[in-house]
Amino acid sequence: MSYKSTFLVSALLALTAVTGCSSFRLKAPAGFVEVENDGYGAHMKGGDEVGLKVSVFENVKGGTLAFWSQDMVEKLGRRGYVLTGQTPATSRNGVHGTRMDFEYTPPGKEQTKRFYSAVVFATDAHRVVVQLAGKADHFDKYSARVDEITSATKVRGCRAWTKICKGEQPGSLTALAAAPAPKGEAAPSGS
Amino acid sequence: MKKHTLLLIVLALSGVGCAKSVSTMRGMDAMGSVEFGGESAAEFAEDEEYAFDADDSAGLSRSVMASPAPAAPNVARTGDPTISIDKADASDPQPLGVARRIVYTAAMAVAVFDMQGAHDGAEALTERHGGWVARMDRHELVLKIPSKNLRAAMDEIGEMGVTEARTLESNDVSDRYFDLQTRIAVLEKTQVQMMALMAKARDVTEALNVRKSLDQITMELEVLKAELHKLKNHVSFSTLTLTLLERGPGDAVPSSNDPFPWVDELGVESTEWR
Repeated sequence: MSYKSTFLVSALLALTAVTGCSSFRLKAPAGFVEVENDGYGAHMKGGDEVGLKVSVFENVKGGTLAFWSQDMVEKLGRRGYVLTGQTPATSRNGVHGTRMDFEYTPPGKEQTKRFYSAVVFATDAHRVVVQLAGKADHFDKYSARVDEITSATKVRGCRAWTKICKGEQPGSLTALAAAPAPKGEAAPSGS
Repeated sequence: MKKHTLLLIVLALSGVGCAKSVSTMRGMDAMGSVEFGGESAAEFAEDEEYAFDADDSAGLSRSVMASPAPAAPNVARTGDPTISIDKADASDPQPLGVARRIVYTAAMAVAVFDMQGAHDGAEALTERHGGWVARMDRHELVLKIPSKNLRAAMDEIGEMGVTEARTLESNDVSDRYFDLQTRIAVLEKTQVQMMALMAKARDVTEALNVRKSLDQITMELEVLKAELHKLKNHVSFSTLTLTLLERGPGDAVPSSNDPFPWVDELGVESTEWR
């Protein structure tokens, strides 16, 4: 192997290693400031105390977009989150995702209703969740921005020989949102 | 033939003898259940009347004071209705049809994002269930909740966040409860009898002696009543110690046996800035 070939292979390996470490890429969108971003997660602060967060989890065999979307709706539903919308989404590099919008009122006497929008992406390596949350009054202002931010996010971890990243959308998850809300103070007053 | 006739007569005679002995034993049994060692209940009652002389009555009350439980048979022998309670208790400490008296003590540890919200929620929930907050600091609340609502209250508290620990201990105090009830009944009866004796006192010395015994009985009665009241409160109101753990956005708190607790890290609390 010549010196040139060795250099090229090494460079490719290094590039793969570098890009492989990062599971997503998202620059702070306009109106948001980056609080932390280490390639395994990011947290940004917008005006009006609205937060933008990217969470990354390892994926497992059989973990599809439909499975994780349903899992999320079901578990958040148990915590009092009410699903108000479900739409398909696509990342900047074409990975399929599902956007889910929720309404939620945290427990406590003086808590007001919040919006929580989450876009789930499932790749062979990771589950990437892009989230936006804030007071429900700000939802109209930020709803369109969720799509904008999603389409600006690069999601990595796809393998060419599988179809995980182009996974099918989950069926209608609305029915799950009708699950009985938690009792007591945790019950969302707005639901 | 003669031998056979003789044998038959002997057998017949022995059979009569056996029958007689059986009837005698039955008679003894019947007598034993009615009499107390050969004396009838009425005779005993009369004896008791004489025993309540001024000097002896003090001694009797002292024995009641020192060991209230053995006093029950004394009262029972006079034909007092408490005899049935006492005898029933001796054979079966848990009378049929009477619910057990259980003191419940519970503890929960719940991880929450919003500590103040969870605090307020726990307080409101306790009041709604008819209880009160016995002690409170930033991370721990000791709640007194009506026992009948304890499970429901624990379920509601569990909904405030992720339940990390949940324990429930029960202490069966039925024996102590019914023992106190019986002792109080016995002492009350004795108190009434002493009052009757005091009315019959022939001079001041007799009256003072009876009064002294009466005071001792009254004092013990009040102590027992206070203890029973305290026990009733413990049974009626359970103690729930709630520990609140602050849950940060990065804390992966497992919920039950969920193999994928990833959603615990998601949500408004970990995303929004406040």
